[in-house]
Amino acid sequence: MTTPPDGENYEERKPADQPTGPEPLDPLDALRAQFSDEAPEEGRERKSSVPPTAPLQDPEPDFTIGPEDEARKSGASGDLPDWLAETMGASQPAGAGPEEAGRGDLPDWLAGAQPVPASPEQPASSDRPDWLRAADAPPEQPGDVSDDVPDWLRGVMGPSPPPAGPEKAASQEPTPEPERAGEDLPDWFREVQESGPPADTTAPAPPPEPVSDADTPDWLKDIQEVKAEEEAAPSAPAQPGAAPAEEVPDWLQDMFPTGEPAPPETPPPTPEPAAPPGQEDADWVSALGLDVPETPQPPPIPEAPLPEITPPEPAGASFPTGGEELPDWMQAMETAPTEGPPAAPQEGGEGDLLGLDEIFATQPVKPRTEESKPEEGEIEAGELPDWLRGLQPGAEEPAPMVDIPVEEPSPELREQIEDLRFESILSEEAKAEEERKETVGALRDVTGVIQPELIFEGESLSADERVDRIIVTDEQAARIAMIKELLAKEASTSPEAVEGPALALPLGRWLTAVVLLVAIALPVVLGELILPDPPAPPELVAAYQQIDTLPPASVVLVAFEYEPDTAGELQPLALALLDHLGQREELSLYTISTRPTGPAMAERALSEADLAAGGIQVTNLGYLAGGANGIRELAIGSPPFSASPLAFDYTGNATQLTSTRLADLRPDLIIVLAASSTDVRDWVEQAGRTTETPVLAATSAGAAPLAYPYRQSGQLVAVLSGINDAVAYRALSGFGFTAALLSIWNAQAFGGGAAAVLIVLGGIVYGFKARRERQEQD
Amino acid sequence: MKYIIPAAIAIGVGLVTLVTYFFEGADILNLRLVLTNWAVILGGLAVLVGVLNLLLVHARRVQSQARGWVYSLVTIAAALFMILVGSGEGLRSGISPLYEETSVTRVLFSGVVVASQAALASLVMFFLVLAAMRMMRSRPNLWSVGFLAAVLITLIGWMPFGFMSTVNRIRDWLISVPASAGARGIILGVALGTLTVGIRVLTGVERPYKD
Repeated sequence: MTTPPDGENYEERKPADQPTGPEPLDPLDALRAQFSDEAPEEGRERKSSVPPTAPLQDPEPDFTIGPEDEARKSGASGDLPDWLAETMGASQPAGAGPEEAGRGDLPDWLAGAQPVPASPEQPASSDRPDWLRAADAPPEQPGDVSDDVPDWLRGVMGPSPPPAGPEKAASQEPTPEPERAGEDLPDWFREVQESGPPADTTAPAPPPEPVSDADTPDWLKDIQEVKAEEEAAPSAPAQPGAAPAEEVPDWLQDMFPTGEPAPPETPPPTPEPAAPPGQEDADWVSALGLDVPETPQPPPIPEAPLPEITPPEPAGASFPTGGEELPDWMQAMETAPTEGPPAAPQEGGEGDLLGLDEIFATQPVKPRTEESKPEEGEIEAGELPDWLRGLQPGAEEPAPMVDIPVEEPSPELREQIEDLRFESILSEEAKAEEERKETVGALRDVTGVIQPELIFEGESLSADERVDRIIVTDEQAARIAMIKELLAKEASTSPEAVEGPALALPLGRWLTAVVLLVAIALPVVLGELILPDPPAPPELVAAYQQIDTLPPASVVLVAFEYEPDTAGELQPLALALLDHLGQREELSLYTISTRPTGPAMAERALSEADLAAGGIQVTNLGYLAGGANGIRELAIGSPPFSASPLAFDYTGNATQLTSTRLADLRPDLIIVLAASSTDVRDWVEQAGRTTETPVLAATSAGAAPLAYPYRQSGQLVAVLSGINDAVAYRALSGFGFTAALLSIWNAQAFGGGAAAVLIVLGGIVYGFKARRERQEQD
Repeated sequence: MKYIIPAAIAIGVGLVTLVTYFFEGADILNLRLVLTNWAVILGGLAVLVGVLNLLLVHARRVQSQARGWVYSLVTIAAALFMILVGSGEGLRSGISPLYEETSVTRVLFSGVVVASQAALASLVMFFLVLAAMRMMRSRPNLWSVGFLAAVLITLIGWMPFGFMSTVNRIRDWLISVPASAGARGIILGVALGTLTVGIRVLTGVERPYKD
């Protein structure tokens, strides 16, 4: 048989993994053979390939068994079935082979394995690791058990009687057993007594009897052959008194660098089948004088013969009964001699030859980490108990000898691990670049084409930037330069602004302001520079005709949609129109506004207008809330439970109007005095079209262009704008001019002329200046 | 539900209002009037909300002593003074004091509000003239020359001098043709934008009522 080199697959070998087999079988060798051909990942699962034998499992750790309870426990095996009792009876002191007791019930393969004689000496295994070879020296004082007891066991032993040598323990332990058995001995134990003296469990196993070839399976035949070879090799003579040491597995004995025999407290790898649960452990523990507590007895084993017991095969593993189907781990047994009958596997122990699983199972489990993972050629920490691992050369931190459950990694750890993958290293952008399909050129529709910008890895060109985003055209560069120049000018203090505190503004601005002020103020001050009457444009004539042709007792609605800021421009227009309306007879004039200050402007205009000529009726409806919605509500009416905007005037007094909407009021004209084109549009769309009423717009000069489209489409009767139209309208209607209107008109006219001159001069001066600056820059 | 209910309300109201333009009926018209009246009420409240917002904004500036907080303080004081005076006069006379000839509110309105707003509006002339003058310095190109030429023609043509009839006709042409064309384009753009927004609101794509 070939064994792996030292340290190979050692991480797979744990005491719990060791199969139960013949007692003196070197478990290390067996495990080495067992897992030599297995993958490391399968090692843990292979443990379950050991046939479980629940009935014989000692549920309590062996170390808990005290010396006082040892004999009682050995005698308390009355719960054992007969077949076990017979087997136990067969476990007599040396000379009584176990095959004598239970061979008839054992299967052939098991019976063949029983008589394998124990090898008193352990051959120097060449396939052991170096550190094990170093501990291969033969024991000098095999009988001194106390010397072999670890420190922790010595502490436990405490006041116990001085440890006896293996010989003494072997000769003294059986003596109290019959006394304690007393009269409560069960029948099966009485049969044991009748068959002979109680078996000395600590005694070495009797030499096996040769097994006929017919009853021996092939794999056992091989074992016997190897056994014969080993017996032929020179070895130390077997000593009865060294039985406890001999029961210790070879690999454990080899671990002691002092060459002393394995401590008797070390449980034999395979308990004798005849011993009750914990019996064999109790024996060697009793030799140490430990207190073995009462352990729960396993349930009685059914009397079914062993050959008929078919242990359930664990998933993924099979347990052949022998012959050619023998697994490797059992074939490895042939390298070691058997001592005594093969012990039944312990329940749950699954090869717990040392019976330490239960002990270490109670210890805290140290989770396996990357740091704790042994290197190749190194025995995994979980293989050996702590006290044994301390003997291992170089061992520093023993790990618990239990099956470390494989815990699911935390999500964070899993995520970190996944991030280390190549796919994760690539960013999403890089993935998108890889998946990007080429759109032009010979590589069109080809994905994964390396982009040229990815090659240009430099200080100013990073890999994630596209070339087309970096290239700046001349035009863009010029614009950037211009923006930078403007920003620099704004950031820097203007030289004109720091000339002095009195000239906080540039001189040019001062001059401009002065010129404009003079141009505006001069006509007002003089008051004699009367401009000629402006010509009457067609728009003005249309507006005039619209008002002038109003029938008597007509209804006119005037919307004052301007506020004080534009009152200077719109108020003359309003006055001109109101004066003209005032000339109509029995006219009903209603004013309204969607602006908060609109009613005040209306009231102001009404107060200045000459409305008394025709005896018109004026009603200021005040503020109309809602903007366009309010206009819409005014046009189509209010809900039944809501007051109509036509019901009350701006003072809250009732208007005595029966109409609740413009459609019922049927105005003849709607005049919109708007500062913005939005107001014109709202009135045209929401009121003019709904009530089919002509709308006349009088706007500011700035809003006029936006009102002209409605005029051109016929939705407006006319569009009047500015002071000029006001003056022209008054001139057309023949109302004359007021002093205020003339002042405004002259001031505005001269101011406009001055502004035009300033713009021309400024354009020329600044134009040449800018040209000179460009020439200097060039 | 946070978005479904507001969207359903907006779409429902919009559809009801829109349907009344195509179908006639007393019930649906009354429903539309109710909805429109709600909008009017909200519009009236918007003025009050605007005043309160103005006070709060300037109050924060005063509290934090931000730059120009003194002006904010003056604004708050003026607003509170006008509110108190107007409310007092309104309670005394029973009508809005703005329409009373001798009320303090009307005097303040005409002497302060109207004058100050007119003065601010007149400053626009100076700004425009200065901008036009410096235009040739910052952007000396043909487009600037054309822009300034249009400005000059409009200004000069607006002056009512008989000898400038040619310029006046050019001005009228500028206003009625190019300016009207541009204004028409703006109005059409506004109309299309309004239609698009209306459709988006009706279909729930646009949710201006969302947070």
